[in-house]
Amino acid sequence: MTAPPRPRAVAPADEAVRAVVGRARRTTWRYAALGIAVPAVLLLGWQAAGMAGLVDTLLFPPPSRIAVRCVELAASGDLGADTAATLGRLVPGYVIGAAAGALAGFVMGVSRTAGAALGPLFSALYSVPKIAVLPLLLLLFGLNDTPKILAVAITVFFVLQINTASAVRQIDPRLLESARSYGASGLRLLRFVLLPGALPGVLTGLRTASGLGVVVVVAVEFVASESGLGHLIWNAWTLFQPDRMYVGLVAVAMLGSLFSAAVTLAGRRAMPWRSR
Amino acid sequence: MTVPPPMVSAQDIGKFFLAADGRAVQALDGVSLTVREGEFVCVVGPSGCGKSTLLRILGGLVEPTTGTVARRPGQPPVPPAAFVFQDFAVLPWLTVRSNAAFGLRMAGVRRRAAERAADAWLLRMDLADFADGYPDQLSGGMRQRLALARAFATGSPVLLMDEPLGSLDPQTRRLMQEQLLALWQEERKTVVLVTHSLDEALLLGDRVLVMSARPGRVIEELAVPFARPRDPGIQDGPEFGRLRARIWDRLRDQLSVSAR
Ligand SMILES: Nc1ncnc2c1ncn2[C@@H]1O[C@H](COP(=O)(O)OP(=O)(O)OP(=O)(O)O)[C@@H](O)[C@H]1O
Ligand SMILES: [Mg+2]
Repeated sequence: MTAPPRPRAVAPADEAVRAVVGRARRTTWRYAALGIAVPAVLLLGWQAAGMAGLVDTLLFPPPSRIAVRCVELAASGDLGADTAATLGRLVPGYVIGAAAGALAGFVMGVSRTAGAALGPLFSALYSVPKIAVLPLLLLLFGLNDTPKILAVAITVFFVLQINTASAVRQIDPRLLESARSYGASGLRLLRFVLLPGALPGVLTGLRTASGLGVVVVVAVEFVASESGLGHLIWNAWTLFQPDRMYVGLVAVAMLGSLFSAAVTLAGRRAMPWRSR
Repeated sequence: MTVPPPMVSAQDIGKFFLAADGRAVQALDGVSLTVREGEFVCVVGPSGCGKSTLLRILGGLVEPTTGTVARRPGQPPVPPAAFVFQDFAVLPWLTVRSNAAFGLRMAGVRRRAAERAADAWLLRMDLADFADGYPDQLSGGMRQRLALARAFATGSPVLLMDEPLGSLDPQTRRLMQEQLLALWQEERKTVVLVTHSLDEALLLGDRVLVMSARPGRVIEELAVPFARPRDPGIQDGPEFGRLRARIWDRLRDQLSVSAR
């Protein structure tokens, strides 16, 4: 019996596909490795400079010492408690602010009346640095978590409101016309056109707000808190414990990047049509 | 023989737009047009003469400044008219299947039933393999066919098509013209088709309207004498060439007007 000819004809194509996929994967890995290698080299340089006595290790403790301190703080539970305290303010503030901001922005984008009524007011308020209202919030709510959560929420609110309103207004009018021509109106227009059409802008807002939220929660903890990563950093300064301060800085950096990575990932999930 | 009833008729349509600089731009001037059931009317004219505007007015998307439009009302869930837009305007965030089902969903048809009807049209338009993908993953020609599937799937008796084949390469375009011809012969929809291609207008249409440069008026109306069902081969005959030359003669003056 002779071998069927088909597999042979298919094999080169299979190989070509595999080669393309392999190349794409190698490229991805190469870039990922590069992204890790650069910080690693910088850290090693820092370490070497510290050991060679080129920098003042009191102010710039070498990474190895920071790592040791980090493990100590983690083991004692202090680091975990501070991280939990910060998250306990950041996450509720972010969620409340984002939900309210997206809703307000959506209404202002859809309704010209609402946009005209609230637009100028909101853009005036937007330019007020939100951290400046913290004393007022403290006055109103006292020294507990509420003013801190609200400070985050207010910051996030404005970012979401502005991004969402402009996202709704920027939906391609040709798409709106085509949807209307097929009878889309009211709730159906909302669900099939306005919400998905505004989603990219909402997600841009969410990403921006995730960074700003971390900034605000840390700043608030500097001045008005007995716990949290912001307090950890500030307290390390007042007690002159540079290595503890660096632990706090690293923890904030990690928290911030994990937070925005989570938002980005959720965004990709929510917009499967943007796969390319 | 009885004359079929009018599906869309426009009387003395005029349309002004407010341009960005605040001046009024007249897009249409005294256009009257009656399209009867099962008729295929093609509209040709220089760019910017108001063809898309006329189509929008016929479909009720835009109100005319002067004149009146009468449409035979649809029977829900079937809409009175379905559009195929110049730039397709399929929704990028819906899957190909959901886009094809869009008209029916908006008319209140349940998802299952709408998608079944959509799938049948995707199959006819050769898009069944892409039903779960998104429009971004389609080529221009495929997106065009998706826009056609979306219009046909509504079951609307009236199709208003704005250069539906405009962005296709010449070979694909010719193929799609033949498919459209076959499709129309099976479905017998009432169609108004805007096109820049005289061949397309003569191959597909029962009537060809020639419009003037802006403000658009109907300057010539030509009944296409070829019997139905038509064979695409008529394009190579002498009669076809004569008609094309006649339309081109009228159109040429207008093109030079609008170029000035
Ligand atoms: N919404 C609008 N606002 C202002 N002017 C408009 C509007 N829509 C169309 N016009 C103007 O009306 C005129 C006719 O436009 P229309 O799109 O109907 O032309 P057309 O014949 O379809 O052109 P083309 O062949 O290039 O598609 C143009 O001068 C255009 O600038
Ligand atoms: Mg047009």
